[in-house]
Amino acid sequence: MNEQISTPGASLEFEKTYRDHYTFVWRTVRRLGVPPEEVDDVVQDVFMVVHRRLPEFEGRSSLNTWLFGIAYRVIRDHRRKVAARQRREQLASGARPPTEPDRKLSRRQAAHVLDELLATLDDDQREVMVMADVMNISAPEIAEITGAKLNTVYSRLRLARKAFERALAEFRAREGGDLPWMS
Amino acid sequence: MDELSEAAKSLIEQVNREDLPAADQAEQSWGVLQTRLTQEAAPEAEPTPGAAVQPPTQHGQGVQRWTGVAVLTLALGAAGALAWLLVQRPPRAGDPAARDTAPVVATPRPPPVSATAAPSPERQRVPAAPEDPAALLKQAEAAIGAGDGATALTALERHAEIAPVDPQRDLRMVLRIEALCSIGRKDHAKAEARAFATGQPAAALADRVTRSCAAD
Repeated sequence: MNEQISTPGASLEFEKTYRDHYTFVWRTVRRLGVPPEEVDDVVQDVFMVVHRRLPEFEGRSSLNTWLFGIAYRVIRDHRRKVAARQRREQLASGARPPTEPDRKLSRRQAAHVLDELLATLDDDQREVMVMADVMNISAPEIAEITGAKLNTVYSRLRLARKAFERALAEFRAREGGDLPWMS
Repeated sequence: MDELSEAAKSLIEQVNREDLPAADQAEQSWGVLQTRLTQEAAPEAEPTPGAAVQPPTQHGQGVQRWTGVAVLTLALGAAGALAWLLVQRPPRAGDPAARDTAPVVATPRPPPVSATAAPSPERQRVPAAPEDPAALLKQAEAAIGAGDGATALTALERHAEIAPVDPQRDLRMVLRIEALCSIGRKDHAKAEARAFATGQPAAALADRVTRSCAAD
């Protein structure tokens, strides 16, 4: 398992895990609201943890679910630190919201639209909807990852979908119903 | 459970299909990751306590890459690399102030990938998992046959990512139930079997579910 290659600590199994699942982790990090300029750093943070913990993986869940659990915790940790940093920066100079030209530009891409809609949900709802509807993780597995009860997961998912649909309807009303991803 | 509208599903499917990292992003990130692993392993670059899950620095990858290149270069102890190091004057590894040195961030730099991913004769390339939906289902079926439910689940999740509305979606669900059974996740298998049953599946597939642990 720990066959060494050119880099200390980088086993062949770790490299395979990285190459097979890089896109999955990258997508998870993107959809869970990490700003684009910080995605690379957070993805690497996830794989640093994976590298340390891969020998503990017992196959009790799929590797994707296990990876998602790690990404979920790394992102939460990251979010807390960013929030603390932003609070400090706001105290120093005041908040600066995204500029309108940037927002208009981003709307042309489906990924940005999805992220904009997901951003209307609170963190718990966003996480459960991303897991269930974007990453196709089952409700029991979501319960295991988040530590929430299964009924809570279903309840959050129901509320998340409602809020998402509401945001989507508002978006379509604003954009005149011309949705690029439906053409 | 309220289902998502077709418009919402369509948006998510398009994003899953099209929103991918740049072609060389994984490779570049791998180079940086190796540097960080080396840094973590190198005695002179002992990370601060609790830094295993390192938060991204405000300077992003730039500082990490520069620091990483310096650490790797020192660790190798190669004379040529050392000379280069002296000429370029990058931050010293292990110097806590190095990460916050503004000139380092501002200095244009070559990408570090070539330095960190120097060709190594013994280096082996690991093939990625198949990206063909049919091949993924076959891989999952073979893994279940071999008693490797975790690998099967991984293949099935990849299938769900790249082909969420594949005509073989029902087969994917059945395989998933069988895979969950094979790793002893009977409760999960039962929950998924209930969801499967609501979709009016083909009789042959429904039979497979009734023969699985989900029907116990």
